Amino acid sequence: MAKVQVVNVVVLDNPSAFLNPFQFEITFECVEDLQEDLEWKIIYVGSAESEEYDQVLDTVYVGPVPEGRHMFVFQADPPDPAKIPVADVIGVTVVLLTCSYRGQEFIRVGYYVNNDYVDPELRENQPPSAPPQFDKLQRNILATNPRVTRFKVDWDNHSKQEEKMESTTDPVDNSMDGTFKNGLLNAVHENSMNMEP
Amino acid sequence: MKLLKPAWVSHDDLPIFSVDIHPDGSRFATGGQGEDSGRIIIWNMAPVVSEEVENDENVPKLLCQMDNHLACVNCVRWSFSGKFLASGGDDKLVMIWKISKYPTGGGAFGSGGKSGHAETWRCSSTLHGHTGDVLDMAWSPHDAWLASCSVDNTVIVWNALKLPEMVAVLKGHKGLVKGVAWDPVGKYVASQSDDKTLRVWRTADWQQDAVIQEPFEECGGTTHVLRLSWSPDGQYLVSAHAMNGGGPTAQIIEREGWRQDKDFVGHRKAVTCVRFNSNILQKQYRQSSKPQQYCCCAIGSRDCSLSVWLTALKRPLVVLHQLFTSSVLDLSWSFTGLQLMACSWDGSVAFVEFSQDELGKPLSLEEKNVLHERMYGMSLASAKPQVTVVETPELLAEQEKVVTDQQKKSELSVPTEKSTTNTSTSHPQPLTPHKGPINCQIETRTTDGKRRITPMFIPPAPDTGDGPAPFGSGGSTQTPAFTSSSESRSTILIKRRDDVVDPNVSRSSEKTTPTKETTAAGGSTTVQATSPQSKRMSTENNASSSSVAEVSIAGTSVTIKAPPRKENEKSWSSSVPEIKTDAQKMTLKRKLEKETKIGSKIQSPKRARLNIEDKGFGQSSVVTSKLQSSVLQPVMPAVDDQPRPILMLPPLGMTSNKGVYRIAGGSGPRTKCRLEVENSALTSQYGPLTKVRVYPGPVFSSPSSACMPSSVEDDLRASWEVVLGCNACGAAANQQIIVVVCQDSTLHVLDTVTGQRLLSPLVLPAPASRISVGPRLFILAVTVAGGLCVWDVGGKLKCLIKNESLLPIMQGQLGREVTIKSSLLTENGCPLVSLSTGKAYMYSVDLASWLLIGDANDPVHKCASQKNVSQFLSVSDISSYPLATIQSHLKSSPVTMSLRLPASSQIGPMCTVTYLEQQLLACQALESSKEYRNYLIAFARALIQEGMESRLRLLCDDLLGPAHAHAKLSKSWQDSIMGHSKHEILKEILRFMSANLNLQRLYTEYSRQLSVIENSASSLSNGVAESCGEIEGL
Repeated sequence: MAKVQVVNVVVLDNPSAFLNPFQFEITFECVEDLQEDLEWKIIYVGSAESEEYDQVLDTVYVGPVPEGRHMFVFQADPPDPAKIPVADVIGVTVVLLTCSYRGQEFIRVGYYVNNDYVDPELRENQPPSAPPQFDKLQRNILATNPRVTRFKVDWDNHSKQEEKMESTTDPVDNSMDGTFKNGLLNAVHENSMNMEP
Repeated sequence: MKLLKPAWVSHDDLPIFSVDIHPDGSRFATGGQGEDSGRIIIWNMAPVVSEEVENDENVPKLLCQMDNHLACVNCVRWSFSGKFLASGGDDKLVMIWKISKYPTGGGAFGSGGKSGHAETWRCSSTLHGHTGDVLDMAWSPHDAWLASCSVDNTVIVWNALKLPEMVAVLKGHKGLVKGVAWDPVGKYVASQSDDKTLRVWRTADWQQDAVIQEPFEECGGTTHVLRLSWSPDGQYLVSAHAMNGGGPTAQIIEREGWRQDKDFVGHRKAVTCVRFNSNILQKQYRQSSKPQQYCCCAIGSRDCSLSVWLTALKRPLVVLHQLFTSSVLDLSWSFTGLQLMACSWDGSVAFVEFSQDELGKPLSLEEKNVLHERMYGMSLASAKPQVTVVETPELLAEQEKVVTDQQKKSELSVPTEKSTTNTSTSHPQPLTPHKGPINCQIETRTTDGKRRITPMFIPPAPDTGDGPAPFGSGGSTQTPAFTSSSESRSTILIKRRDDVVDPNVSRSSEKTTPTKETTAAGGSTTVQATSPQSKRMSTENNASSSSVAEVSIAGTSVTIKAPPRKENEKSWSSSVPEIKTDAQKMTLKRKLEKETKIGSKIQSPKRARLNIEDKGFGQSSVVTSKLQSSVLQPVMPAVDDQPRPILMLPPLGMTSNKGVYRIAGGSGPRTKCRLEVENSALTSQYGPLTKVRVYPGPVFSSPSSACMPSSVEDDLRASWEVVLGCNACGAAANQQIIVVVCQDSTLHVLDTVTGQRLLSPLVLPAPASRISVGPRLFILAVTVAGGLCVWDVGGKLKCLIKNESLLPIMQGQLGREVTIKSSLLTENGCPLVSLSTGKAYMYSVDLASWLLIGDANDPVHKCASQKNVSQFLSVSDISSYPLATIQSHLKSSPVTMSLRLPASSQIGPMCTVTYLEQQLLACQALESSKEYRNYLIAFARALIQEGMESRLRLLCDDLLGPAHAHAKLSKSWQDSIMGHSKHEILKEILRFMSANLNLQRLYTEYSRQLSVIENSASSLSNGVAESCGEIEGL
């Protein structure tokens, strides 16, 4: 049983300019006082093809976390445009919000993000090979459709043996980690979602 | 009868596998398949019952949807208390749900479920244990157990009071277990399986009691579930799918001998589920004068129909053909017994409402309990201890809260301004403490350059007890649902600070992280020192100048929470005068807090003692004089240079001039004597005289007080009369002696019968605080200085214990006063002292030290629930014996009264054994022979019940002694213990041992050896043979 349940995430300042910071207002509930801090990360998936282009936008520690419901705003700088493959800048990608406890990721919230020009002319005419004009790009997070993946983690620093036992009884494990993201992206392309602002 | 199929109750047309009506009748739960997950929905019952409500758009129909199960939910069951919902599914999991204390929001975040739920139910426990799909579940009638059955061929009984603990795994079925049901009296649990058997298990030892095979021999595994049910009177168990003469039936199995000669016939396909109405019904039939009592049972089948039967009638009350288009999967009666719901594979739910005329009048709960008691000698009501036990999750939570709160306070590590000011001013605000900032988040930097955010705390709504209020009973207004949405701005204020902290994560290399962490957090708090809150706090202290106020805040926290080490103290006492400007003040305070916190971390285990020692410092006197705020007063009643704990040993005194004491016990003419001590009864020219008189008459005192102003008629003649030259301040008496203590600390000993002085007045080392006389001629005195003396004035006058200090045992929690609850003497003159700390001690002269013989707050004692212990004690009325007497004083202390933990399945027995062993040794120390025997047997019985063979063997070996005929002549082994024949005790233990079949080998081994010894001994000597005659019968 996870000690921390994410109750809600509100995407703030959305849609917004590509170069504006990301802001998430996160509400979570904790069933008992936590001994250690939670570690939250925002990861921008630069390219669906490879994890190589993933950018960790920011990492924060959240604590101390006593029992009860808590809320905070997690703000992170936009991705470094230079690290994104040119072909992948415009279009649909994913931003991930993850949380770990004792170094173990227990929840991953994925959002589809659509980057496109506001100006219809640019949208139509900009050749895909040309360097993107980042200052004219708009980022739109599909806030209404978060994809939440929860992972079973060891909350109490149990002995190895016990840990092993738990993971055999639980169908969810961290091996889903990699496949999740790619699967998500494939789904996006197939469904060709309408992400117009 | 009313029949309805609410179309809106659906799982998107997927099968609904389970339905259960909440005991309060306002909700019902359904379980089944969701979109790529299992789904539980809690529905509002009102729109089902009333069409008007159904059409009211403001009334929500769906209250909460939980998609947390990873696969199809096969069973949902409300606990009898209504607080919990258990769900079990194809994901092998059992989940326990309870209503959330927080204002209602959506379902689980990201579940993609319907938004705008009226209630939030959250999973409080996930039970892992089954290795296959969970198909059926049942709560035991007292809610202490939850049974779940699975395709892994097992039934697991969970400890519902201490989840996720398992009580037992019932193994025996050789096929998928598809149904489970508790006997309403709680003696059995039954399960039905695809292996063509129905098994009944005992709850006493979780062993199989019966296997019923015959009716199921021709059954095929054609049903998804086999939900069987037990009638509310406990007489009948009705199975799901059985066959009789080639037709499907529901087999009736009688409790008496598990006879199977009746069944419910008529369904054309296999019976999937049976559910008894939980009420015993009653109806007046024309032909008989007495109202007839019967039960009511609903049966659902794969033939898509539903039948309802009354056990008083030979034919069904009603049969609903073609109610569904597919198999019926589950049934549920409301608590009132007039409403019935059924769900089906076709994804629909049916609702049937009966009138009382149709079904009959239900017996009241009391009548039902009386019936159970009459039939089985037990009932839910008589199992009260366990019923009250059900409420303990709350109690436990409550306890945990208290503990964690205390921990927090003692650690001073709560890094929030609110609670820090709380602790530092010692104005606790216990009501719903805010555990964090409530209007902002605080951001600091960590040493590795990352940000650390202390999140905003959202206080919960006032807790209205754990159970959900009936839905629609008011107050449940719909609040906007949480959805992951876009908003431009957050309402949370972000406060950034320049503090640098270490991240509190285990990957960090430093081991000392927590200490540093709190320091930093404390530091961040002090930045707030100029905020209105802390200003308010300082003014509350009524200090004349603000600079002193600041110091006194810090100072108070130092004295109360964490006594500083010498160097700390130096640093802050010397810096006190330097406080001038705001900036300096702040840095000082911050520094102080850091230091004291580090100090408290290191020193906390020794807090109590350190506090005393600190007062001894010369320097601190300066400090305390500066810190004479009212807050300090209660903590330090006596600020002097003597290191000493807070002893509460008030000097003896009489409330009025006259004291009357009862002289208890005894027989013959001396019964009911009365001692009267009257100060200043006579006046002489040299001063007042005190009169001591003994009357033979009865004592006119209420049983509650031994000493009260007398209302004696003067015509009663005193047996004798003695005068003392000094005012008496207390007296004690028994059949032989009277002890009077005077204000000049002298102790006078008189003969009860004659009034004769037995010795010259003894001078006590200090004024007496307590005085008592033991059995025989022992006198015990406790002085205000904490010394304890015992004298033996019978025959040879001698001092048994000379001014032994009580200080070692009178250590309580810091700031708590320790008082003596009672002080008595044993038959041998050993003093027994019970304290307000819940501990009882005995002084052993041989060991020259105090022995702890009882601790009411000992977790072991608490876990060994009284019920468990007393079940082993053959003689329950032992109150007149020493150990029981002294421990009864402990029980009356409020600390013990409030909490009696239930014996959980694993901890309870373990603690019971330990506790009994402790009691046993205490009896030995007290030389209380009868109690010793009693506890020895109890201890053995506990070992027997727990099957602790090795311990039992040790015990029996000692009791048996050397296995040869000359045993009684052996020197290393004595044939008796505390005046009891060891062999007699062993015989008694063997009798109990025979009850546990697992120990049968041990039993045979010892009983044989015993009889060999006894036989050979009897042939050896006639004298011994006498006592062994009884053995032959063994």
